[in-house]
Amino acid sequence: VALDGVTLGVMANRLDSITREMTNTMVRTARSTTMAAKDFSTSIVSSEHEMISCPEGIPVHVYGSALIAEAMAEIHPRFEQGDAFMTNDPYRGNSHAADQTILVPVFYGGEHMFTAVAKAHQADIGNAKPTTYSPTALDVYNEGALIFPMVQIQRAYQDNTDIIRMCERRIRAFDTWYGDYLATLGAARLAERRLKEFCTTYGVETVREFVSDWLDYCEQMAADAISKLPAGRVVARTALDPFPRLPDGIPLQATIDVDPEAGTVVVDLRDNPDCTPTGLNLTESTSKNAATTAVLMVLCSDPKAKHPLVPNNSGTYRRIRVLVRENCVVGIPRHPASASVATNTVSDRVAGMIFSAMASLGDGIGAAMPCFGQPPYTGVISGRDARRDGRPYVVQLFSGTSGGPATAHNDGWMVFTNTAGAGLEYVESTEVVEQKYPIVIWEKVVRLDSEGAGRTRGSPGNVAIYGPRFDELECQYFIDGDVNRSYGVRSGQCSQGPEAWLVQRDGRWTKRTETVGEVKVEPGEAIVSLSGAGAGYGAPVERDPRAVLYDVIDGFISVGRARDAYGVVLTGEEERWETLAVDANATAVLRAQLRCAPPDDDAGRAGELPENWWMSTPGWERMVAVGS
Amino acid sequence: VSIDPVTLGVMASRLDSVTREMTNVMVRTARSTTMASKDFSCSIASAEHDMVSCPEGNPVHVYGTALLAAAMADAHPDFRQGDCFLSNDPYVGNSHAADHTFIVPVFFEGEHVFTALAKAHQADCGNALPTTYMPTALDVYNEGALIFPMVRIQRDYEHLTDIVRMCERRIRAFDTWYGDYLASLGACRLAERRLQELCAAFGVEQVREFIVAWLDYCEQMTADAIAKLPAGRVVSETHLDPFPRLPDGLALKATIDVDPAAGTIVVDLRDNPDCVPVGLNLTESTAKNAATSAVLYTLNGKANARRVLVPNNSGTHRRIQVLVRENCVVGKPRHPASASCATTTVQDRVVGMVTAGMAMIGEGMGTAEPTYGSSPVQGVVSGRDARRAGAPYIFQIFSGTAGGPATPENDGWLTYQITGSSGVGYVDSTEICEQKYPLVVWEKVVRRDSEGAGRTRGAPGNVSVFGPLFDPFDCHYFMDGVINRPTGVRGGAPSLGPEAWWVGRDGGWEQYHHVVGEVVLDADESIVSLSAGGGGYGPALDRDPAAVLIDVIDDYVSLDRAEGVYGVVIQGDPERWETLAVDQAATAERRRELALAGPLALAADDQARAAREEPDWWVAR
Repeated sequence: VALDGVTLGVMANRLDSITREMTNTMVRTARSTTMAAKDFSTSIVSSEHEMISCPEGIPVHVYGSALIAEAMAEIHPRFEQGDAFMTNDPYRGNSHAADQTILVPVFYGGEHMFTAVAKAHQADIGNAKPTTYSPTALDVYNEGALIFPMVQIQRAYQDNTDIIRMCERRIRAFDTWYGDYLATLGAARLAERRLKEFCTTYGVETVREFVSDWLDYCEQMAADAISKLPAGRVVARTALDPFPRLPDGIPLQATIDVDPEAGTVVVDLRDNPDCTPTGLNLTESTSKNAATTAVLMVLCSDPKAKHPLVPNNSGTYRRIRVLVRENCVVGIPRHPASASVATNTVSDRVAGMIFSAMASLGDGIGAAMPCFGQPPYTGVISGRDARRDGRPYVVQLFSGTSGGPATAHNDGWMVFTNTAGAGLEYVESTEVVEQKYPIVIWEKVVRLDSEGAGRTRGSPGNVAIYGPRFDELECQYFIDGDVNRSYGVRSGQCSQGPEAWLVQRDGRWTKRTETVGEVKVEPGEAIVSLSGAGAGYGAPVERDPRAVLYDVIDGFISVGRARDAYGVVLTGEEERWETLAVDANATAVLRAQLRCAPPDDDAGRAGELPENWWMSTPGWERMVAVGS
Repeated sequence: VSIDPVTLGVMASRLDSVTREMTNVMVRTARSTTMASKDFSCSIASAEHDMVSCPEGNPVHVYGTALLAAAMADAHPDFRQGDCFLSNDPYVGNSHAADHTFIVPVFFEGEHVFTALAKAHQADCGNALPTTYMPTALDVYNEGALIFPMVRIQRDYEHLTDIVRMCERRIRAFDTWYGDYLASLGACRLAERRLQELCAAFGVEQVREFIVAWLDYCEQMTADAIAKLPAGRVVSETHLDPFPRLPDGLALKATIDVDPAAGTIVVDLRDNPDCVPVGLNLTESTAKNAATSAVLYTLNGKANARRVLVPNNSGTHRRIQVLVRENCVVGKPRHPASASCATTTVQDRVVGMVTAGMAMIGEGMGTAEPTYGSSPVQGVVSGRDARRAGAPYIFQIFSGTAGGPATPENDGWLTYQITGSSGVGYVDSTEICEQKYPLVVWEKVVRRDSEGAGRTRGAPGNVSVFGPLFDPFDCHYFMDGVINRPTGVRGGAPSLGPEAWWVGRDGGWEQYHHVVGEVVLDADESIVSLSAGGGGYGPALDRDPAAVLIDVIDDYVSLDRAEGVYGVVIQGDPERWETLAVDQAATAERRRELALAGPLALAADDQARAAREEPDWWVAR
């Protein structure tokens, strides 16, 4: 290795700060709230098409960076400075069609040095239905999205307006799309400038050496982390809930081989069903990402670490091999199979089954099952805005979150949302959403007692309640984890799955039973999203009683659940948190009993629906235009 | 005008033969049976974006030629030799999204002289459902088609493969699309060569003079034809059947002003409903075409004419003004309203009401209402082909036709099919269909007694039966004219509307009652399409008895109907046509009786139609 350790570190950080600058540019110039909620990722790829930098990148977005950079060079072998390409091709490296990726090849002294990649989930992508997820799409035609299979959108820094005009015709809320397009392109062009400066500072030779050394170093970090795991082979299994056209759901499995000596983990996903006639099929990048992310969660879960031990890049990937096959629901989709929902659902299941199965390698390894499904808090809503001459709108909400799984050492991350985002996305600003779209968000609170109990517990889910302000809105969402709930590991327990409810104008609550919801919500009505929670790790009776006390004080769990699920008896008044304390003796006695007869997964859950306070708020009728 | 009439005629014919050569190239190089059935059109526009030539063009295809050529120059002011553009944009000049138009600007010595256009209905255009018509589409997003708003697809004679690859991802049966694309492109490039030869032969100056003179001449022919009509203003109405999301159907209206002194006809379509949340909205070109076509029916309706008197081009269009407004179901659609079915349905209704309205102005003008509905005979069929490793297929079938309206001097045209093509389209070859796609076409016959009776009668509809050979197929079709049937004019009678039936493997018949059919047929089942006939012109009792006899001999009309509706009594052995003859005395007597009884009621008219036969000879095979 020619570069010294300090220079290597400095250069890697400079590269990461360029990527972070791209990210900040996009957050600050985003037109859509979806982009402002950080449902996008930026990354930098080498001229050999290896991903070298993606700090804060959403794993499911960035895994494919290397694949799509390579696709650019293959499809447009004469690419040159000033070019920009757009792809959202699920059959060639991208995640799902709603994630549009802009690639800018960066040249220095006439040499191709890097490719800057910015990928963002769009507010709309032209699906036949007003949603960026079409779980029931029969195929890519039925899905309806515009597919850009690495299409040149700029030459010599000039837009190909044909492509933009095509989007104008077929993408809802085109202005929003165009604003986000400019933000994304701006980020990629900014990276181009910064990367040229980077090359000027160090010279092409050193930069090329750095790229090679840095990836080798990351590979070594991955190998070192793997060498600390016990050797073994585990077979992971899970099953997606029954789904439209899939009455038995989808049984999934993975074989994981950990070889600490060779410093490799191999995940074999090939023994899974063929592509399905739904939008749930994964793509090459999302299936490989699901396995890789799961392994990285295992490798990076040192409780004392201040930052990830193993970076997410192509050097690391050399040590985590994922085997996939063509025409597989967890593999490479065969055209025209739809991969409209490739970033979640099956993706969540695959990642979840792998890191939870890895927990069987030993205490201190892996995590429990994460939350599943995409309940209404993160549904795609659409309608017309009476404040803006009835202009149509469509947007994916991020008004809440779902619970992360308990890891070996930590409670689940509260704003986990889904495995693909793995906690990187933001919960959006209620004020900004209400200002941009004609809806009212009544409530975002923790969903009491929904967590999977454990020595470390899963994060509870979330209650989110919202409705239209003037005219009807349509909400598209879908549920998984209701039948096959998120299970715990190493005696940890199941969490609650997601639910959706509709509160009618007369205050009646109706549970929505559909797996794929396309629900119309009238003015005065509200949709209630109860998101899934993460499952627990280790036996609940092993949990530190003080941690349980804090959970009660924080309103995460009830006194009853502390007692029945964790065997922690509290004294004091439930309503006055400052009076609460652990009754150490009673707790010891109860825990001894529970060790002999473990409680069931739902022991002591309060099981209450949230309170409908908003309908009795003064001015409620005016606010939601009832009776006007 | 400095060009003598002989040169003018020679040059016009030469231009038309270039367009015809384009057409022949496409028929012969088509990949899809849809294209081979001539569901495409070629045309040539001038550098000023006037349409100058479109012989054999489907009217609904070619009307937009001028609009599209102008849109090319607007969207791409830098257009140059070697470019080719693709448009299917319903909001700027095109018909519906399934009609892909390839546009090549033709240069001679660096000057833009012509624009060659080839428009073809594709086997698929990427709609959300496997059909090129989405009558229930909420909007253009829900429709799902790729929209190409004048997109460059060639530069310097090289493909821009990005666009081709986008089609590969989103168009079913992409190979078919690609084959048809090459055929269309080939036709345009051939026209480019031929037009350059034309310029070389005559010189650019003279070509430019010719264009001006020819369009002026055509305008004059139109003015002269209009000058022979009586002056008049008429308000004509028609009513589309109830439709999904349109429980009352659509009430449509046109005001027609004929001004022989000025030599103009003005059709006002502005007093019609706003755009509707279905795929039935017309586009600017289809709305204007509907009215223009209907007027041209009258101007070209001379019985003894050997050829069209008034050509269909921009010179002619100067004298037929069609007023449309924005955001109107019969006008310019407001994005994102869907115009997925802009070439049928409402189009047919507008043609029908305007041509029937013209008939109200005077005897010898206009026609009856034409056939309505897109019955399964022209449905879009899709499935998988077991003979080709289960490869998916999709195409629009043209296994039959529908009846044309009676004109003042002629019976309706038997293979009229639809107003948009007005008889230009072909009935496709059963053998080629069966060879290319895994289906069996069991029967194509005339639908006896379905015509609208009249002095000249409408053409009867058609019975067409087909079904899958191995695996199930989807058939998408949609109906109109079932409730509000095609009417007759000037005492002529309405025809029968369309129907669709299912025949089970045991031979049982069951009617499909969908307005919008998306039916799945299993192997051993078949679908029966009964297409509508055209309405009649003038009283049936005035029809020449010899013509009625020939209708009976041809099996268009039953003996009972000949007597009951036309008042023609025929003697002889019904089983042996050569023995049949008109009983003159009995006919005179019968006609006197019927005349005394007054106009025939609809119920009595229908009573006199032979009962539907439900053959199933193929089931026994």
